Amino acid sequence: MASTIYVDKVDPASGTALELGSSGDTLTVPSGATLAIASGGTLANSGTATGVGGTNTPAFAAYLATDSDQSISDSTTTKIEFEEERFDTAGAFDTSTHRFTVPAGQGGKYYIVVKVKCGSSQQNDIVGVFVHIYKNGSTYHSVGYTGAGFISGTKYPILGIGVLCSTVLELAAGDYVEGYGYIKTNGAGTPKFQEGNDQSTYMEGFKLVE
Amino acid sequence: MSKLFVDQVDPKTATTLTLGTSGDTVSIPSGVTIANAGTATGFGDNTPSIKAVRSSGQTIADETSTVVIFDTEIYDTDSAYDNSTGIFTVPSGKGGKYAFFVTGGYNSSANIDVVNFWLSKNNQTAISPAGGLAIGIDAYHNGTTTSGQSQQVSGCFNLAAGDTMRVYTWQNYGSNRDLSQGGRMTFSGFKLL
Repeated sequence: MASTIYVDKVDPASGTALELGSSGDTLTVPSGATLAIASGGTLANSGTATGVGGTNTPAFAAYLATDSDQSISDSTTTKIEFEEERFDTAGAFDTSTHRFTVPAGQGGKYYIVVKVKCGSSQQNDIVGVFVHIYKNGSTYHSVGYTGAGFISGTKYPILGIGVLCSTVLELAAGDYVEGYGYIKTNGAGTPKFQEGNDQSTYMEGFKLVE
Repeated sequence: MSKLFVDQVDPKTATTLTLGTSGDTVSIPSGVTIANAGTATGFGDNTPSIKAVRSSGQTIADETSTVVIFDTEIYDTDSAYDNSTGIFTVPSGKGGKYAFFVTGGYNSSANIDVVNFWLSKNNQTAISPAGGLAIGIDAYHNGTTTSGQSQQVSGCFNLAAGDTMRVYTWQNYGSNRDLSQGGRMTFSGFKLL
């Protein structure tokens, strides 16, 4: 039979150290209870703690497949096909749909970054680029340069550029995020998102702890 | 050393059970598991956390370092961001390493040369001071016109309570120019674990 003691405060009988449990024990803070360490107190854990403190997970890192540039239509916003992963702690990134979907019970704030190496099949052909983070199929955050001339203009097109777009999104379970890109050329070649092992075109993210 | 053997400890009155007094250390020995199925506070998280946007085009004078006022808060977990000044101040007890991100751009169809944005620690008014006090980015434009552009800066800073972070911009279009707004002008940040 389980024994219960009712008391409002437990203090060390001597000194300033209070020890909870012995090796092999499990101390449980039940659902609905709050474990709070007040100012001036220290909870020193040498054992195992679950559900205490946070980890920045789910976390994932996906990238454009090695040796596989993604050719796209000129001046057309196009989903980036991240086909390979470096890690995916919750199995939440789908390399066939190229999207991260928030797992059940994992809603909250997420840091998401999409970086794209923009190029063309012809040298010095690019005059505008944009990289977008999409939330549930719509643009949420964008970074880029467009309109004749910002990068260097039709007079001074460039060979290529890496563009990084990152933000913090508030996401609920089931929400999904994707990376999109846009490249405008002078018309000499075919624009493309360029691979570079896993370092040139990638999408990464993790959940913030609150 | 005294020991008490019991399976459950509950509050005698109300719903608060206190372990120890200020200055005490409550220890979980090796081999013991503490399993929390409820709520845990004070164990480290990514707060303070802020996100703010610009609701309308802020006018920036030519060749003048200017603080960007992100006047609309999306969230501000510790009320540490002042949307009237554009300044984030580290609250008491919240020092540590922080990550910040700014996306910014100008609404302009005129010629430009240079556009700068930088994250400024403790009001650094130049983009390139020493000592990790600012992280910025330049954009250079050569002739012709632009119908839209945006730049992004991100970086980590070591901040103590009372330290501030804000975003500066600088442009040399030759006259006043307005910043972009909404999702093209955002300022975000959070404390690292």
